[in-house]
Amino acid sequence: MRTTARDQGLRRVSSITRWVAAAGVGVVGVFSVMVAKVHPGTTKAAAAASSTSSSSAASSSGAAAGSSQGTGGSSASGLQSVPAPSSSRGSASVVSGAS
Amino acid sequence: VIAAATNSRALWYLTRGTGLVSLLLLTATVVLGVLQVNRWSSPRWPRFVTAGLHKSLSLLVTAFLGVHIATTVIDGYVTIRWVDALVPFIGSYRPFWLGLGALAFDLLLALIVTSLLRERIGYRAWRAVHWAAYLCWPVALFHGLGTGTDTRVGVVLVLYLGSIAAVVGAVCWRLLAAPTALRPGPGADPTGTLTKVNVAS
Repeated sequence: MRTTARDQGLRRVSSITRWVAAAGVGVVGVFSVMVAKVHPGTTKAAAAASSTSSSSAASSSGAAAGSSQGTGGSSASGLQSVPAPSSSRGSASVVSGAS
Repeated sequence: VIAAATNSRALWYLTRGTGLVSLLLLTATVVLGVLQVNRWSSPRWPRFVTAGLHKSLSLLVTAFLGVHIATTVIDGYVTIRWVDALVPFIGSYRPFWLGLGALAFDLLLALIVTSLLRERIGYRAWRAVHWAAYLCWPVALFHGLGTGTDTRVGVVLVLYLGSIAAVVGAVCWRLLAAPTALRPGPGADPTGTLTKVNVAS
């Protein structure tokens, strides 16, 4: 009787742990999608890509080349591009990054 | 270039998501620890289930934190080294807020390692280290609040507030409803963070 209760309890622990782990992975995905839409942010590669596209757009048409992928979802417009951060220590120009 | 940007951005999103989930799991771990020290149980929920879940979730937190740290370092948008994740306050990027994260991670590692080695190091040493559990959670919370770029997003803010309410409520309940739990006997668990499943309870 006691063994049965113990086994049930241990099975419950195992089951809940698995569900929490799966839910955690799911929630990570949901958070990622959610914050990607709300607050895209910038990565080094994205900054380089944005800078390249902005400069090419500016050279070809001179029109505004604002990117919606700018740092912190900023409303940067015109010819502004997101500067790539310096990889040296002590750089203070980074606006968004790892959370 | 697009593929690289997408991959790199995915790493950053993963960093943010795993950070938030780690905080939620850490909150659940702390609440379960308080439940345990208050000796809460029911016929359908014996105390060893609480203890087992407490242990499992603390290990789960470590797994999510591992992904959180790895994606942060690998992302490369800002210069964060592996050593910055272990040694607090030496990084160049937001050293204070990032240092809090490193400190919380160190505390969590200490809690887990001493729990796994509890029978070897003795109860007193284990107990002393486990008081750090009450420091680990707020340090992790401030790390998220200070360095998290999503803190002002509504849902994230609600999650932070919910976590604070859960832990504050649990600690208040411990202080008010179970004063005897604050004066544990020689064999009692002071922080409710026993990692050994007590099947006899």
